[in-house]
Amino acid sequence: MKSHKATMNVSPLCDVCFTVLVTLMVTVPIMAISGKFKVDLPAAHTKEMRDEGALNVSIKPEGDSLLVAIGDKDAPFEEALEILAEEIKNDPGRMILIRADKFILHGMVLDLLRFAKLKGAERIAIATVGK
Amino acid sequence: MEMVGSSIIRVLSERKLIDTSVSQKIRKKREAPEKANPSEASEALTPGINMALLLICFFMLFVPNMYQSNFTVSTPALSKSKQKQKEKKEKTELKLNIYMAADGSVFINNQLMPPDIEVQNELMRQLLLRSLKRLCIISADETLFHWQVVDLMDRATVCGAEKVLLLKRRGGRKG
Repeated sequence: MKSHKATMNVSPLCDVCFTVLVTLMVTVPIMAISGKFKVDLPAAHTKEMRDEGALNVSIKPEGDSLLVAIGDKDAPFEEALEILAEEIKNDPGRMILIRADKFILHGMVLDLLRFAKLKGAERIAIATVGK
Repeated sequence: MEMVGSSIIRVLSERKLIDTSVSQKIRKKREAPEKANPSEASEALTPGINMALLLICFFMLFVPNMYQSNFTVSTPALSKSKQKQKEKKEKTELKLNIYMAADGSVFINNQLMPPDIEVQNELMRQLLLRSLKRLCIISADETLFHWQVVDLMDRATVCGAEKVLLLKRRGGRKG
């Protein structure tokens, strides 16, 4: 007499795993863009540990003007600076991550750095993407 | 047992005591589980599932760091008094001072470098090896693009700089 082993059907589990994997592969790059808008960051070989609690300051050129966002709040440049000053005042130890577009002028980034430092920011970093 | 059963069916069907289609159905029913043995198929899937789960875990752990990195930069303190700044300047080791002009030419410690990147990197490496704090001070023309300065910072870090200081210079290059 032949005995038949009772086995669990794993095909649905396998399907779910692969679906989760594909979903992650598609959505994670979108989720990784943590600013209000997509910024074309400059490339670099150097990699430092990302600070998850950092305040993102995104800046990119849009025609003749600039698109600026502090975290998820976008505002004109002057207003954005006020928001940034307020955020720094609330938590000076928080890392300020400047996500500047690669075609922004260096002078503009320096002005932002200087402003953040003047308002009391203790840690400032410039965002890059891997080469 | 099976053989006895099948021979009985065969004899009965030969004598037309039972319908042969019934015996065929019975035979098919007996053979069916052997043909489609689910245990074999599930065993082959297990490594696949393991791999999929491992890939998901790796992906969840490493992807957030793959897409964005950063440089921690320092800027000179602005609120210090002149005396304190002077004292700090004396203490700071100024071994590697890089300036990038508006035309992209690079000055290392106030000396114009040849445009060959490898030559510049080699000098940076040598200077940083001698430096104790491995501090690199970078200043650049304000009309340069952000990526050009980041590239310079990246090169300095790859050559061994542990701390990068971004400096704003007014009125162009000194010296």
